[in-house]
Amino acid sequence: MTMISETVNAIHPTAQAFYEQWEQLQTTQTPMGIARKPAMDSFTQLGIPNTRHEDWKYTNVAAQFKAGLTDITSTSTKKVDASQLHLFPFLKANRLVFVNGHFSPTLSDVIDEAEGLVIGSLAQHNEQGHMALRDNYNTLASNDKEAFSALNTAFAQDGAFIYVPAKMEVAHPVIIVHVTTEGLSGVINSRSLVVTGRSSRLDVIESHQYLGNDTAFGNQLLEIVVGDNGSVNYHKIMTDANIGKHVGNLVAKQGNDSRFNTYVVNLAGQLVRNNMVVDIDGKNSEAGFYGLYSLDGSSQADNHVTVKHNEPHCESHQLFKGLLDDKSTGVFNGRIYVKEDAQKTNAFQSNKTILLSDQANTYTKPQLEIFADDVKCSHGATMGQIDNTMVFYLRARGLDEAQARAMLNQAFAADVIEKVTIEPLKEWLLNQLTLQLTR
Amino acid sequence: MLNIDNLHASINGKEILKGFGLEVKPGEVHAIMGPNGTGKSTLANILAGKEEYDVTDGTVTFQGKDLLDMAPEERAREGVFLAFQYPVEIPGVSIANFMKASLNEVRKHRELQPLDAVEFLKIMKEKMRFVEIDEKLMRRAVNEGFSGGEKKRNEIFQMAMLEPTLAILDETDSGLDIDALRIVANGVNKLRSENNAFIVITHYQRLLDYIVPDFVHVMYNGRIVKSGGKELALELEAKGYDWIKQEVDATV
Repeated sequence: MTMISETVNAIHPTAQAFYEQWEQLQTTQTPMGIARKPAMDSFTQLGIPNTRHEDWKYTNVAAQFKAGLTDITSTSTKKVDASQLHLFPFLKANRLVFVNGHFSPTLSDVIDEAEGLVIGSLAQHNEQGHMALRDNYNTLASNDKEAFSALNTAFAQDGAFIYVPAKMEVAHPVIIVHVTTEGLSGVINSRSLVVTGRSSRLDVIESHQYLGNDTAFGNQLLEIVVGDNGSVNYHKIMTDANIGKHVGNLVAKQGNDSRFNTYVVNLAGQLVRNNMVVDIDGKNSEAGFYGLYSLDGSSQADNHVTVKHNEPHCESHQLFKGLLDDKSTGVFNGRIYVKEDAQKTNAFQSNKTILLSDQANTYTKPQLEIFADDVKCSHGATMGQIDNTMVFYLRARGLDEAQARAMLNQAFAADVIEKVTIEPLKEWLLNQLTLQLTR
Repeated sequence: MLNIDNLHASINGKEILKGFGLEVKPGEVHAIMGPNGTGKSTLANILAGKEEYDVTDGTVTFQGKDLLDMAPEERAREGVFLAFQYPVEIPGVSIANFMKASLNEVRKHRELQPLDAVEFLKIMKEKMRFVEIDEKLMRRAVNEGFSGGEKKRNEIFQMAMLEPTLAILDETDSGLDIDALRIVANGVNKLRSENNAFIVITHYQRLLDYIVPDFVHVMYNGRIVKSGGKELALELEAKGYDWIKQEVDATV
């Protein structure tokens, strides 16, 4: 105890408080319970990363913890009414709602029912010992390297669990709504697991909503297993103007002949960090990462993507676009790793940023690590301003300068949203973007 | 309609227009010809409101109003249209969206109701046929990946949509094959009326076989040095510009 607390204290003063709260947690012989101790040990070794850490150079999370984020296990009993939430009423969908990291059966609604299909609470299925959960829980998270993963594994109480059996195409998307109530000032851990079987199909839409501006820190971890010949589309929607501080870790693994796409739309947030790591562990598979961060005020979005090509004949695409106004900051770090055996890999990466203000900042870092010799890989990054000759062209046709710029900004950013395949969601996102750009 | 008087303009301290004057009345077509680098495109850009130029002297009055005092968008709404020599590619903005926003701004200025989607589409299709543009193009981004001819036809299409009072065609014929030239010229001819006017800037007499001008002006060294009827264009085609240059230089 003393030794641990000393190590921890050296890294950040609030860790002692975390440790004490962790000791109070009830540990069961379940997958979630068993994983807690090694994860806590790992966290005490790692600590909250500071800006000297290469991966956290531009995103100062340590400062947030220094400011006194000490509460990590409190459960708010605040009642949340469906009318306070945006539940994507235009979509026929399954809905799972989590309030401060805890499942809310009354706000949730599952419409797709089939033998073997699970759309529900991780905690519940952890207790019941679901086989796919036992086999896959915490197998992708890298708790030994990623402090927030370790912290999440040590503390998380609940989140979504989705299991899609082989050959099943889930008819409607699963919308996971994470609600943070007002007045919290601690860390909220949320943990989810998605396992899809052979030749199955699933759309997941995750939305983060904040009921008021608060000081809570969201720490989310999501593991996704895409089965052979399966297809999973994952959307992360962060459009709520009140989004606070958030670190999200997405770790995924793909089988043979599979497709996995992620769409991250970030239109607000005091500080949002998305880590996305996918292991393409099967042949002839495709992965796509599409991200938009359109920010104003002092918002910050930091996207770290790692695509690991471990097998031959696979293809990956990364397209991230930033539109940065006021004093906002955008960070993109994209890594493509091609293993020696992963011949015939096609991997592409692009990061484009438009700065709308002299005080906005953008940082971009492409990394290619290629050990195979027969591959096609490319990366590119651009940053700049809207071309004035375009503005003049539009003005010469009767649009005023503000309209012209809004149209060009929208066109630049919409390019990413256009990749979304769920039509009504795409339309809604385009509308949200317009609202954000004209507010 | 348009009165340009003693216009002097420079860019980066270099004087390009040196006392340019021109009067255009409704129903007229004026051709402006002349060698390269005499300020033809500068004139077009200044009339459209491009801000890089400094107007150091002179006036431009359009329908009784000071044109130089207006922002580019105000000029467009008042009925001035420039068909660009080099139309810009605008990725991500479809022609349909662009033209809808543009037309509704112009209509608002003319105190007309905005068009709904159905009405707009009807007009758009009609005007697309008018310049023989494939309807598929309207979903595409403005000028992106268009051939030279498609870009120029797209300019004439936009002109047909906005129905300007004064249209300035800045070398719309340059680089067009004979079919595209005929289409562009037919578009212009169908739009001609006694209420509107055209300034056609060109290097070549060829276009003027199709768009027959009322006046031909020769521009040299920042101003008009010779004016005449349509036969002047033929004379220029036959003799080139050197004789005009010599005439002008001799009088200086």
